[in-house]
Amino acid sequence: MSEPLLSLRAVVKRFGEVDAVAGVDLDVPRGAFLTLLGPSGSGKTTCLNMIAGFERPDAGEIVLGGERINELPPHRRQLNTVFQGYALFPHLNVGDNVAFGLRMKRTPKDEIRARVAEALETVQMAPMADRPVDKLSGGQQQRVALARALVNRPQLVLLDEPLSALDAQLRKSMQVELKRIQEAVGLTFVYVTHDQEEALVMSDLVCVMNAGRIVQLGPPDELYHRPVSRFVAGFIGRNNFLTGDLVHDGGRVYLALGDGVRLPLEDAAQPAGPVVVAVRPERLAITDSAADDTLAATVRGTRFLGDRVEADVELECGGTLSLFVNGRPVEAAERVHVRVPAGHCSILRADDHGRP
Amino acid sequence: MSAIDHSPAGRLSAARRTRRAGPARSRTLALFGGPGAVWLALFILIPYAGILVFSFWRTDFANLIPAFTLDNLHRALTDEVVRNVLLRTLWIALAVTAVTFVVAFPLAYLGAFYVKRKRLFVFLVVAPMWVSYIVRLYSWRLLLGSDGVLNKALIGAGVIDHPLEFLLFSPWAVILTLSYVYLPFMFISLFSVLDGLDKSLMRAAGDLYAAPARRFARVTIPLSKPGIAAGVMMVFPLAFGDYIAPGLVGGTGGQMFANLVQNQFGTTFNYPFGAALAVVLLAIVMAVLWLLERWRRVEDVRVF
Ligand SMILES: Nc1ncnc2c1ncn2[C@@H]1O[C@H](COP(=O)(O)OP(=O)(O)O)[C@@H](O)[C@H]1O
Ligand SMILES: [Mg+2]
Repeated sequence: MSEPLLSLRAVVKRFGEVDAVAGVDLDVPRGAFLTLLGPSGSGKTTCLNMIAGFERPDAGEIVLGGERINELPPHRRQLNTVFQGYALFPHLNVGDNVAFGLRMKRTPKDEIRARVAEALETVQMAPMADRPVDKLSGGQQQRVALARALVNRPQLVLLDEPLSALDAQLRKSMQVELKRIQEAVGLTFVYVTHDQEEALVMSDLVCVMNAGRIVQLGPPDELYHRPVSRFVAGFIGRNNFLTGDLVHDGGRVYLALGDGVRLPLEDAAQPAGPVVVAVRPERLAITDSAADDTLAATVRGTRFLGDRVEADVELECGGTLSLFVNGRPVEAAERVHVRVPAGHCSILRADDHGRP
Repeated sequence: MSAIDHSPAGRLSAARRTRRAGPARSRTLALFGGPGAVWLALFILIPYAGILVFSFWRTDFANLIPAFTLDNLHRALTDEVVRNVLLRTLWIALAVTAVTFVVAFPLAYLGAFYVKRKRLFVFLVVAPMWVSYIVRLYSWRLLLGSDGVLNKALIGAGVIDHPLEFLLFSPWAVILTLSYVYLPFMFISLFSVLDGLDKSLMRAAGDLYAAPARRFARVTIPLSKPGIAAGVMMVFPLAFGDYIAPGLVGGTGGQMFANLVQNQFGTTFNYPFGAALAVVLLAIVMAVLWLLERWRRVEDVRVF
């Protein structure tokens, strides 16, 4: 395996009493699109600021391209940042904003021109070079901010919630566009967002953070299908949770719910005890007849979502589930059976507090 | 005067301004524009027009005679005494502007970027302004005079035998006192712009390989231009037109242009010549403000 471009080793950052980053270990492979995903206040921006050099870690090491960069000031780090509010220079036009980094590196004028033109071409802003930046739309400013980073051909590009100021539609198309550009230029991106959908769409690797720690790191589908904690299961995509006790009986494993109801599970290696089982709404199905793997329930209500209908059901053994109705339509107050497929249940410890 | 437009308070980032413009701005114009225009006419335009008209009149001893003569203006521009005082006034005013800038900028920078309790800091810097102008001038006399605090201390310490006379009644004393008096104006203008600067722009500059000194020259200073211009627009005309400080601490070698004007009106009763001098004063101040405005609009780097 080739050496990672960027490594964080046991990195800690405190602000007074707050442990903004409480011991983070992370390897970012060369050429990857890695996303730091977590709720607001989970330490994502602080991580990015330490990588960029705006904050010093209190402990641990940051290694870029094999070199420890803890003490290196921001202007000597071979990386560039796309800031949350874009941070375009209001006194410079589009072209001069993009040229700023090259000019600071004393690149020859002709080369600056060529590379700025090329970078603006990449983000489809070529005709806008001599516009003042405050006359641009949010999406255009975002492109300029990206071009201003890419033009320097850095080893690493950091992006802090770059799409959060855009409206939903534009955000969707920029997600695709950003990913396209990242693949085209072949650079390593470390991307910060609190939007799990965005993280799933764009990333090669998603690093889920909570309370200053990494909770899970993996490709999007792995996080979606095999969350390691209740926190990840709840944060990524939609999920249902069933709380109960894991019991072993005759070589098989069950989830014991209230009223003596038992639901078969698959992973027999799990130790007995209190657990939370997560199962996605799209994995649940309504059936007419009871079976081993069904739970009796009453329909509470349905919602029309356009491409499908979503139903909330109340379990007779306690708790509620959300699911999508595919077969025959159901009505409120109707009694149904819900199939919970053992193969799609994630068994999580009940008391994980967001940690694996 | 256009100084109003560039008052630092209303100057946020360019982007925020454009977004705010529009209906809010036209309402403001309607509210303040009407009474403002009347005010401007009553207290500024009409008196100035009066001065301009006077400058074409003649005197016969103390009697004013309406006429259209360019003699007063001609004399104001060619008289050697007038020219010497004018040049001295110009460099004193420029020096005062420069001194206030050099002292106020680091203070404002410190306040905007490093001080936690900003209100207190601003209050402390601006506090001297609450004391009467005249009182502050007299206190400088006490400090700098021949039997003032400074001379006594120097004699007491055996550094000098006789009091240093040039401390008081010299252009230096005028520059010192005026700088002290007008420092808060410069400070407030610079502080409000520096404090309003988007700090992520500083980070962006660092991120784009600008070492601190270049970041300062390429980002901080250009973005502070409105504040620098506002500060200069207040301090330079005030210093250029001051006649109290030169009277109290300037001595004969420290007389300034406004003292000449004052003499014509108060002592020699040559109103037309005084008016002509006032016209010259106004023209020079306007010219400097115009240059300043041009500088403020200069684009910073232009490759595209
Ligand atoms: N400069 C700072 N001073 C004090 N506390 C800070 C500072 N920056 C961040 N924090 C705190 O550190 C924690 C993590 O913040 P941040 O990294 O911005 O989270 P995120 O980007 O994931 O929303 C938060 O509790 C925040 O309040
Ligand atoms: Mg953040």
